[in-house]
Amino acid sequence: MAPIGKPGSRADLLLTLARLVLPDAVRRSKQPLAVAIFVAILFLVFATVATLGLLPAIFAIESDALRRNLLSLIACSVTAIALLSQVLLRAPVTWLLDLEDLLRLPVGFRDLYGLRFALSTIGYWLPVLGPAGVYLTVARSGGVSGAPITLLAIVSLVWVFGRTAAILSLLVNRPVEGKLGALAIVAIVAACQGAIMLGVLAFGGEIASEGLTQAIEESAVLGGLGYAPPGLVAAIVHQPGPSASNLARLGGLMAVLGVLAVLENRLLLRGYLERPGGDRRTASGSLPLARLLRKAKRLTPTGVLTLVEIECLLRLKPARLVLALVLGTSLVVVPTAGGFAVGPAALFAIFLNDFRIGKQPPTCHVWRESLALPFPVRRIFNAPGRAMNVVIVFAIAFILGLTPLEWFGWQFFFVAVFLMLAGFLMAAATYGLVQLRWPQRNEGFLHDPDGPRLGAAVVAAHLVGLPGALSFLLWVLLERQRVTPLTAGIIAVAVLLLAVAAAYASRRRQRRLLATRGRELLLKDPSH
Amino acid sequence: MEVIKAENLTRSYGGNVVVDGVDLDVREGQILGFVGPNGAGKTTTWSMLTGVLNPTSGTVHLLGRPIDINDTKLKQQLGIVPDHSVMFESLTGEELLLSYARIYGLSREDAGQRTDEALSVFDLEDAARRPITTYSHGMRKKIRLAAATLHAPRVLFLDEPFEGMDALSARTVMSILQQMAEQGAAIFLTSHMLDYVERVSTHIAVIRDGKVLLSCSREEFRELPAAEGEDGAGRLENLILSISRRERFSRLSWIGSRSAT
Repeated sequence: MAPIGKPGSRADLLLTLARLVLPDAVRRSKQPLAVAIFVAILFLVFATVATLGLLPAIFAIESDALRRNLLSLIACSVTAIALLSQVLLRAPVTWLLDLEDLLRLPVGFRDLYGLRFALSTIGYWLPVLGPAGVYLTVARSGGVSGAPITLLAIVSLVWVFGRTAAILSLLVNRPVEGKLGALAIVAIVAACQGAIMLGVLAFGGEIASEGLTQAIEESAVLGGLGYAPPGLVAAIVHQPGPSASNLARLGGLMAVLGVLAVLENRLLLRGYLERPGGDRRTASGSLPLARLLRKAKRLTPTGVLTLVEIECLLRLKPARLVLALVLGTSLVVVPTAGGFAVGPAALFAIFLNDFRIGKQPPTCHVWRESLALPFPVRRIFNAPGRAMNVVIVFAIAFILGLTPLEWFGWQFFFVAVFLMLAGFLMAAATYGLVQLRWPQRNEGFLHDPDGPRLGAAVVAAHLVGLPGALSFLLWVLLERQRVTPLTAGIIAVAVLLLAVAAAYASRRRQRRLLATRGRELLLKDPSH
Repeated sequence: MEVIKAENLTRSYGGNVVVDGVDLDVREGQILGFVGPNGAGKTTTWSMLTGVLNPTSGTVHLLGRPIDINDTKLKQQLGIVPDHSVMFESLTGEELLLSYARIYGLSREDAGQRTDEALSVFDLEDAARRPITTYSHGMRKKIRLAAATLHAPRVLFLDEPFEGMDALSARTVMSILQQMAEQGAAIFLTSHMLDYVERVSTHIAVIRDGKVLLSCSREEFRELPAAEGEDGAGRLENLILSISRRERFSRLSWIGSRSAT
């Protein structure tokens, strides 16, 4: 360990703690570091593309009022979506580090709060909003003299955001958050529609709506949002430079930050020093499955499986965050790609839903539960399985259906939905067999050195993509009138039927495996 | 010298009084075993003494100073081993000890030397370079105890220190606690492992329903007329049983029955 300063000094103590809590915060997120880096890079790429595509286009808009209101709208929407994601989905962030254990060390609460505050500059916002921050500071600060104001305003907004999210997290009952997670998915995806419309406007595409443009330009609400913290930053980048009004805006941001910091400080003190210790552990995210199972008077395999499915979905906080944010940024290209976005977006959602980082997949839970609880395993093969995937498919398809795009027709909508269902059925069937064949604890693709299992899992994941590719191919053929809607529909139904047959065969095979080797597999599984 | 002093310590949640007017006094060289049935208020008292929970009323003084979470000078003289702690588990055992030594201001030479010795004494040498997440429950207890004693604290607080430990490890811990007490440290420990508490403590306090029912030295305790050895239980266990509300062992009616369920 390289020396940081004089041993025992305050600076040395804080720097040592900062060094320690960061990897620990990563560990507490239950997310392997490699996956976190992968996710961060993914964010960075999408955010860079979105920034370079969207922001220059907005700054090229001639109308001053429209440009200003659009910037306010973007800043407020992004902040609101990020807040929703952080609080409801409980995205792992360093400013939620548990001070309780740290308070026992020879370091004061004030210092720990300072550490928490400083660490809040590191987090998901960095890859998500970092490219926009760099672009605005470099290209939209009105020269070298204005750059510090722009930069400070952006950093202040990040701190304001961090404090607000922390306060909300402290106020909201954490177990409740998990139950709201599924709802948050839909809410976030719906909120992303704003980004789509903005993209449409900013790119000045063919479907830009004059009515919408006028509404944004003359909106009193958006004018008012200009005085909210994100709006203040938008105002600074709109008319950058070291002007008195910008300094006043920066002062306003600092004042808001000060008030929030005092409030958070008080809430933290109250939270840590006034509550019994046992309650704090709920922050690790207790899931309702065990409680529901205990309360249930009559358990059926289908009921248990549904609960398992819901639990697994609720556990997907990092994946859901990726889904929401990536979807939000990638859908900006919808106007140029047209209906093609339906397939990839939904498939990506399914893939992420199956990408259970460090968690046991549902089927593993299913046969574990079935062996641990007194009910027969015979009905497992006809379990609904991955019901939430279907919900996601239809939710996304529905939301996309509401977008101001040229409608690509019900035929293609159903063709795409059928093919996607086929894809997820085949993937689910393959996953099920993979989990029974290699029942080791699932540490995620990137951390699983087991070659055959990894290979099989990757193949399973790609099975989802095959119908997606077919969906795209059919769409292209439809567009070029090389195939009739009827033929495309027949192809889709045939693929779906084949997938159903494959899934049925897989479930039968799983049932036989469970009947003959279930207990042996259970004993071999080190995660039990 | 009074090292740990609590006066009229009270903690209530709503109308529920969990700790009710507790007075405690632990001096240099004393080991106070704080025992009682489940839900008696042991851990709440422990939390208030260590400063991580504010009392509703009453005061706590450590080394003659009121406990304050911002008093880092005072906290540097404390060693705290909580029952459950998840801190820094991504580190290896060796890294954790070296980090703690640094946090408590030890020089690099002292930190390295004490870390090696602690790992050896607590039989953790083989696991020293493994992340703590891979440790068993007992090993985690030992690494936390090692971390809390590296800086030779003048006051040591332990919550369930023997839980999950094998007999040899428990004996090692007791030996270290006695060594620290001999050197003038004051130790406050709560535990359900009553045999160990009885063996290691110089003083014993019994709490039930938030009130301290008994506080005495080990010698005084041994002169109490509590039944000894009944059902193979030790003196302290019998005392706890005698003051508990349920004074008889419960039995399950269906155990031993051959009737179909």
